[in-house]
Amino acid sequence: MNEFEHLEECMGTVFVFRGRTDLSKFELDVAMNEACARLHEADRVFSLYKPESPLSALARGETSVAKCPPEVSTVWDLCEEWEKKTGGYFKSITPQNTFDPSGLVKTWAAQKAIDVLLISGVTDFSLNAGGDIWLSDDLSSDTDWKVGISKPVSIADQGAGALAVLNLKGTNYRAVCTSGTAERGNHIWQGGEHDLVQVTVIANDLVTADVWATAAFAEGPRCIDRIEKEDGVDVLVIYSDGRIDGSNGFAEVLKASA
Amino acid sequence: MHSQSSSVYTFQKSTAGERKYLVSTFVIGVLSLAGAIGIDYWLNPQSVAAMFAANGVSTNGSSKSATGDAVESGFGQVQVKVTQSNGKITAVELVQANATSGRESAFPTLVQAALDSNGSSFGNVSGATYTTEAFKSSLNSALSKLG
Repeated sequence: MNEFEHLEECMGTVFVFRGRTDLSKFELDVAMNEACARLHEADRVFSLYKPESPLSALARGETSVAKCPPEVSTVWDLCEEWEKKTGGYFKSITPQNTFDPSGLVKTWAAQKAIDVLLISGVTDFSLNAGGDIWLSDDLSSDTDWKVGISKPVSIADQGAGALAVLNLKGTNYRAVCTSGTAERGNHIWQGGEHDLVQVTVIANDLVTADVWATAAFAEGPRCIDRIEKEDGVDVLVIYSDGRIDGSNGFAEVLKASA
Repeated sequence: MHSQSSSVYTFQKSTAGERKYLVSTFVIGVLSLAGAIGIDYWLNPQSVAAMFAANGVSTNGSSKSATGDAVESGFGQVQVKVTQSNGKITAVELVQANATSGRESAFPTLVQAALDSNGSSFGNVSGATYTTEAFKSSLNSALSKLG
């Protein structure tokens, strides 16, 4: 059993794969290369920071979804589906009427990378996808089952640290995703004025947690009631004045973690 | 003649109906008020006491207003101002009401407890998407352990 930690820079952030495996160093490298290739593929197609990407061309009106690589229409459909599920609070069409699936592509690609590792026989690991956390079912380390929730400040800040710690062992939650203003300011198109600085969503699935975190932050405090109705999805919100609130399921997880 | 008496009868019936509505509206009003005070008292007897235990009384002509103590209701701070005119309560205002759902007051405690019992023992930290630069300049670049 060998411990490993792999850092991959992609999509303007860093992905950290950490775990244990019986595979040889070479076998793990092959699997990890293949997994990270999925991240870079997604970045090549979907990055709006790269003028040469199909999505940038689409935004400039130079091409159509039909002429883009097939995953563009897959992600387009996925975004439409999520927009309906979240009552319109998850949006992929910008106010300028262009397609921007950034709210979902990072974890969508991360899930593909995870699947490559699982199929390759790496089953005991966690992934930190730029602040969005995923845990495998076969995680053997008790420490790795515990996930901190960052204070609503940048990780580069002097006061960086954990606000709370969730112990997800024995639960059905495998993903912890956070949206907020701490790292990149107000980057989510908000439907209305509200005073949330951070939202953390837990769910079984990584994309589900990520999308709900984006939608919840866009909706504001009323997201708690909306998410309360979703099976297996729970939320913790932090107001700008430091108040904390959340769904009943999240309170249960905190209670069990204490 | 017949039609006239019939119309009188109709008129009388209509008055009785209106009266019935008036009475039921009044009864509903009184019951709602009593219910509201009852629920308030049940949730927190202190807030009702504070509503009537005036500490700052001000008089303006025949109108008098009093502000009760701010009380911790378990649902946040609540403070009420009651204005009385000619012996009748004319207005009840919430001076201070940070009260939201009861759930909210439990979260800070739960969050602190979950932090205290785990300390820096965790594998990863979830936060808003950090930039590569923030990751590199973070004091603990493994980021995994921000503790």
